[in-house]
Order: sequence, then C-alpha cells, then structure tokens
Amino acid sequence: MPDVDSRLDRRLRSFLNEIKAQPLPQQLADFKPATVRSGRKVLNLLAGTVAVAVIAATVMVFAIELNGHHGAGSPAPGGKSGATSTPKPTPSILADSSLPTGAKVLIPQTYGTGTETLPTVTLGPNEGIWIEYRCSSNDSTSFSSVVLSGHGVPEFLGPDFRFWLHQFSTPNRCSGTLVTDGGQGGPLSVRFIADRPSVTWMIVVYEYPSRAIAVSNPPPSSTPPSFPGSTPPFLDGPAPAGARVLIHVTYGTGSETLPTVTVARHMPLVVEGGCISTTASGDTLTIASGDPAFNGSIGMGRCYYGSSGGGGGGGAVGSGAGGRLTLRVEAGPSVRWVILVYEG
Amino acid sequence: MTVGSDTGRLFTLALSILRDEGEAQDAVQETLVRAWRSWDSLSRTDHVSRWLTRVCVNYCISRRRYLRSRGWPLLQMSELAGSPGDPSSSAQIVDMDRAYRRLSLKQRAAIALTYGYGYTDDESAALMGCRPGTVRTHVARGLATLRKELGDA
Repeated sequence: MPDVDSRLDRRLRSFLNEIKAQPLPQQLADFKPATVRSGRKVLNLLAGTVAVAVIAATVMVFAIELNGHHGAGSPAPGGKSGATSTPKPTPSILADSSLPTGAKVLIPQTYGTGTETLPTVTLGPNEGIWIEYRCSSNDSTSFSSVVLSGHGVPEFLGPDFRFWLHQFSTPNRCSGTLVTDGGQGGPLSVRFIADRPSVTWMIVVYEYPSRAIAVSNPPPSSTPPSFPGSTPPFLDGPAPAGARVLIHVTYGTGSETLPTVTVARHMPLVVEGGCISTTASGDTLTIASGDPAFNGSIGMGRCYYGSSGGGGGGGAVGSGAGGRLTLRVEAGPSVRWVILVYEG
Repeated sequence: MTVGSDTGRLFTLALSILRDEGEAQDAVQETLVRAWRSWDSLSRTDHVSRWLTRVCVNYCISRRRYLRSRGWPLLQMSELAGSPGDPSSSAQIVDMDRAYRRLSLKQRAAIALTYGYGYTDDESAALMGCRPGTVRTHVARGLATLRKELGDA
C-alpha cells in the first residue's frame, strides 16, 4: 500500500470505490465472445452484422435497420415481420479497423455537431461504402443516425438508408464502422442526424472495390425511386427502451386511419411523426382522434418538398383517460409520412 | 468460457484507468475476445484472472495512445455522481475525478492496481509489464499530482 496521507487516502478510497461500484453495462453482461470472429469491438461487430446482412439479404437489412426505429423485437413497418436472427459476422467485414485494399477517401475525417449533411460525393460502380464514425453526447437519451441518400446508394439498401447509431452505443457515445457492399454507383449524400445540437461527432467515408449486389425487386417498404428527392420522412428517434409501443413505425401517404389501440389510464402518450411532401406548398400533417384517450388533434408540422428529408416532430399528448384509441393521420395526398406512437 | 465473474472487475478496473465508459467496455470486450482466442491454452492454466487483468491493463494503457494517434476526438467521459443526497461527498468525488484525469494512464493504472485493488508492487509490475520500482514511481508521482490538484500539497 502506498504511503498516502489520511485525507487523500480517504478521498482516493472513496473515489475508487465509487468506480468499483459502477454496474456492469448490459452490453458487457450479454457479450458472448464465442460469436466473435475478430478482435474488432463488439460495437463494430454489430455494425458489421448489419453489413453482412446487407450483403446476405436485403430483407435482413431492413429488419435490422428498422429494429433500430422501435426497439428490439418490434415488427417492421408495413406488416412485414422483420427477421430477428442475427447473421454471424465474417472476418472480411470485421477486420480490425484496417481498410480494405484499394479503399479511397470519399469524405475525409470530418467533425461536426448536431445534424449536418456532408458534401455530396460520387460513389463509383461496384464500390462499397465504408464509414467509420464516433459520437458523444451529454444526454444519455440522445439518438443519432447516419443516413445515406442519393442515387449512388446501393440499390439493395433502398434509395435511402438510415442507420441508427444508438444500438451501437453506450449511453453517451457511439463508435463503429458501417460497411456495405457495392452497387450501381452515383451521387451519394451522407447525413449525420442528431436529435440534440450538443451531439459531437466524427465521420470518415471511404469507398472500396467490392462486388455489386443486383436487386431485381426493391424491398416493399422502400421509397419508390420516382419520389422527389431520395429521403423519406424521419422520426426523431425510436421509442425509448421499456416504452410500450402502441403503433409501431408506420409509413403512409395522404390521410389514413391507423389501427385501434388501447391506452392505459394516466399514461403519457407520445406521438412522433415526420413527413415530406411532393409539393412545395408546405402541406400539414395532423394527428387527430375523437376518442376520450386523445380527444383533439395535434399538428405534426409542415411537410415540404425536398431532397433533404422530412423533419420529425411530436411529443407527449393524450388526455390520460385511457381506453381505446383510433388515431387518424390527416395529410394531403402528396404527403408521405411516418408515425410512431408509444406510452412514455 | 468461465470468465464471467471477472467481467465486472475488469470493467471497473478499465474504467478507473480510462475514465471513459465506452472505452472501458471496449477494453473488456477486447480482453474477452483475446481470452476466447487463447482459450485452448489459457483454460489449462490456473491464472486466468491474472492473465485477463494483464491483458486488460495493457490494452487500457495502449488504447488511449492508439486513439490519439488516430486523431479521434476526445469523447464524453464517464461521470461519477457521488452518493445521492450527500452533496459534499459528490463534490469531493467530482474534484477527485477531475484531478485523477490529470494523471497519465500508467499512473492511473498503478494507483488503481495498488491502491484500489490491493495488488502489491511486484504484482502490479507484472500486470503492467514493468519493474516494481517503476510502479512505485508512477504511484508516487500520481499521488503528488493529486495532492497538488486537490490543494493538499
């Protein structure tokens, strides 16, 4: 034992005991080295899993990616039940941070805060995308995502691809690598989306020679390529862990009545919505219901034409009365929207 | 693998050195992966815990150097809140945390091992891959820095 005066001894002991009392994060408690094929961090392994899924099957990509929208085990939107099994990562994807042969920088190491769209670059045909990212936040509830959009996004990902980072994060930070196989090439826009302006991040984007994956039939839940721009409406983020999701992430166009759900009494109801329009007029998106559990309507914001995607919005609503609730989305026929409802 | 009981200890040890929860998780994960890779030989020994500790400590010491060399930004650090309802305790821990972050990684490792986890100088030296005298030097310099930062000098 080193020679420490009593005052420092007491403080240092208290400090180290505080650290020793820190609970083991769930990610570590669940960590199973037997599933690992490389020394890459598990956070990256999970990202790699997505990448492998991308290569293996488009459906799996959507299942996993959308899993990030509304928590593990939730079905994918559009009634499509997402595959939940996790494909085993392969060494080629998980090679320890060493870039593949022939990799070229598309977007050099870039630092930013909050939401930001990086300069559009051109991805070559058959070139895969390799993104390394890190982020940190003062807010443990902060969610961030990386969105790939533009005609250069490999077709098997859909014309837009949102990758939630929070699944690959500790509460205050994220880091990892997102890798995809190659596609048709073309303009590629990378957008880092943070729900807090204080989120700081770093990203670097490479392209690397890869096989191209051809897709004969686009996934049913993808945005039609003819849609203006290339980005779908966004939510602020997935439902928080533990929240009871009443209406899973659902995409739609125009006015639509949502399935009836049952709301518990005195439970805050959170409606998240996002929208984008094919017109420049600024159509509105409104959520309404005459049921006692809601009794009224809320405007979810205006939806503009654009290629930059629709903003998310929402918040705690509801009367607290509980009971059966049927929500109706009211929007013009040119509005594409996304909605998520949960008890928060 | 039968290293589950070590995971929590490795995590808090890594956290005490790195003061960054995410990096501490990475350190433990990397340690477990290495253990898994070497399990055929490692499982035949009776010093699994010590092996894990050594790998974890050395990963921690080298990890921050690696990150700096890659130009990664400094990330949100782990914060300790102190005991709930005891503002003076919280303030003292926050002060100590701030001072502790001034120490080098090797100083933190030496202090954490000898003072926090009760390893002898010889044992700490073996875990850190240096001489016992070097451990004592790290500890002494680390404590001197803490005294200075805390105004106890």
